[in-house]
Amino acid sequence: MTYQLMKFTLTWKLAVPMAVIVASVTLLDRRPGDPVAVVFPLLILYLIAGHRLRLEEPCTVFEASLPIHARQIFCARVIALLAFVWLPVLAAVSVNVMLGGPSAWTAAEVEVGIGAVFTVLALSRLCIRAGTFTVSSKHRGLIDLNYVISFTALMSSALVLPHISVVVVLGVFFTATASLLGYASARMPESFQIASAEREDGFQQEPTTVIPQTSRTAGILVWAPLLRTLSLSSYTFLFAVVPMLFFIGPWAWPILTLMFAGVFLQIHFRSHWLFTLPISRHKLFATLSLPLLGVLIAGCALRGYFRFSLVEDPQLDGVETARMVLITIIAMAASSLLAVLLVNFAWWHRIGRTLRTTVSSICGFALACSVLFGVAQPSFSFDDKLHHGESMAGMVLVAASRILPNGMFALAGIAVIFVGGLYGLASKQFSELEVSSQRIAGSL
Amino acid sequence: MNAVLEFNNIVRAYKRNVPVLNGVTFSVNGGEVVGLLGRNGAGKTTLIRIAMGMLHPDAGSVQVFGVSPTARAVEVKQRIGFVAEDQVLPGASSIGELIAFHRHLFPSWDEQLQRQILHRFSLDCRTRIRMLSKGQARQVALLCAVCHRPELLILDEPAAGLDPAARREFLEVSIQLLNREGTTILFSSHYMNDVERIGGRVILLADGRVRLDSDLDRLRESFCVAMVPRASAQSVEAIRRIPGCVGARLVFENWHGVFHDAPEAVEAQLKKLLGANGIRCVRVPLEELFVELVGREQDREG
Repeated sequence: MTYQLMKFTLTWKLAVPMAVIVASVTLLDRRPGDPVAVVFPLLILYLIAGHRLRLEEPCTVFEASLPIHARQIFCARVIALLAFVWLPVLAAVSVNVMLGGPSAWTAAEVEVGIGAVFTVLALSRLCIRAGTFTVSSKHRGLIDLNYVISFTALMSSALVLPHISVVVVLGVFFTATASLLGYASARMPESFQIASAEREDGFQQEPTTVIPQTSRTAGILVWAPLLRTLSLSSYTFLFAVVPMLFFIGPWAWPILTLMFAGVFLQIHFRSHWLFTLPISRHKLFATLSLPLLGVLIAGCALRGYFRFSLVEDPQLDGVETARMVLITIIAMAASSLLAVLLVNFAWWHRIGRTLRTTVSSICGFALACSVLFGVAQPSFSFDDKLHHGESMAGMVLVAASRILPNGMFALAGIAVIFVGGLYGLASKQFSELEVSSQRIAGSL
Repeated sequence: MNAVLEFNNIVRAYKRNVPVLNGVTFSVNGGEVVGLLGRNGAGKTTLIRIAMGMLHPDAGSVQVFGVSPTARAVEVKQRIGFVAEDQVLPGASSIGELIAFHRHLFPSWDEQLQRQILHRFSLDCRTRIRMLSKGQARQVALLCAVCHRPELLILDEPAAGLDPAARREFLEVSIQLLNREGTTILFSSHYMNDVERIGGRVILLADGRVRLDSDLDRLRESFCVAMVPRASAQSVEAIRRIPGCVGARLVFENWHGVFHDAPEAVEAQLKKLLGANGIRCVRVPLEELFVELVGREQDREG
């Protein structure tokens, strides 16, 4: 029965595919000397899981309606979660150990440590409100806080774990896990309950038909429902990912592009309720995409500055550094807009429905190939000085820097024309998108 | 009278060679109340989404206020109010914030009507949308759809899932209030009682086409159902070929046919053509008529 229940969970369904992806990325990007780079695939996986997989909900309404003890459902959830966390860890450890190398075991220990840290964080989320299968608005804040803590803890762990013994880490992990499970087990009722939406102090306010002053205020506050639709957690996620670029090489570019497309897609679905209102689709696209692009460009600028001026090549002068930063930003912004254009093909009526599935599949495949191609580190090198051990994405950037003009104004002009052109195309496409055939608005 | 909404030979499919709408043509004039009927999957929601400019037809054209709802979307939507069964409002916003947002989008927002509806439904402006019940959320959606006094109100099964009292209250507000002022209303519903209460014109979609387009009063008076013993006709086609027959099906031991005429005249015609005894013709309520027109065959043997 527990296995049958596990099969319903998304974490269980994703465990094996995620293990394969983590193993592939670990295989493609082998830098065992750099522990942070080694655990990067795991960090990204856990951040996405924390953001998207609703780890805090121990049971669905469907499961709660079945004649099964709550403890059994909870048990299935915990096992599925452990599989989701530890199968990718095992895959990454196996790849590292099989390929060997001087620091393979250190990398493996860090990977195990990261898995342990995330297990405790995810379990704490699951156990926050043991016995209820929905999350009340009061606890939603706690869940969001947990996500921020998870992000900070995972990032810190990646830096600290190489200096801590794995025995200590595992000891703390087992103690914390046992405490959390013991706490949840003690509070587990016979069957799951829906969390109360009422105020627990019993205080009820009289209904008012007067709109609160803050809502009436003209200006940006009027747009609060739209801004909330943009989902601050999506921004948090992107903010969380961009700093990671400090720790890894230029192969983060294609991965970041994919993430940008994913975050945009999520926000796009949430915006479907606005399609019924008299809001220009071009304006809506600008509202949805420009803040995301802003976050991305700011992150890239910072990362580019550190990479080119402080970390890798301190001999580069100021102008050359600024030029490389600008080229990186052009590449990031253009590829992100291109990715949005590709993922939106599925809802673009202009392509014709008979072709839509085919074109969407080809676009998805092309996007996946670009990511794999971008992160791969070829054995050849066409410029020994700059490209040794560089990823394909890094090579493309350097190759582009040779073709593009040296003058900053000319480069900025090209950036405006190129990125602006792609933005115009993506915006035009967005204005012609259809709503999903299944529903008018995504779950908000 | 000018047509507010015009569908011209609309074709739309979600799967290749399986059209949901296959040549739908009708128009709605200003001030009309039109009920769109049809079974699940008949294409009511698809047609309404095409009217809202959220779906593009594969063939044919749609015009709202004389212009394309996709080409001039903002202009058209400023004159439309829309409520759908599956419409999801932003859960994190309060009712007050949502109203302020709509007031900003619609210059013709009627504050007095807004207060009236808030009071009538006892809605608290400080409440977050996600804290509302299904019925209350629908009431908020209705408030947002009607308070800018739209020229065209489109309701896609707006009362589905609501209890009878809430449904009636919802329809009273949306339809009676606005139709008094000449607002054109297009609504789809499964509830024949609602359709009968609201009155106006009824359009029935079946097999991707308009199967029936008639005023409700005319529909009640000029259509009847004939029950013919199974042995009287060889096949359903024999019934369908009889002049005035709109639809026929087998229900256990009888052929049920819907005829466009008075019951007495149809009974006489059938007796003359089929020469059989036991034929009964009756006027039926709208719900029965709907079932007869779109219901499947019920054969005890097969």
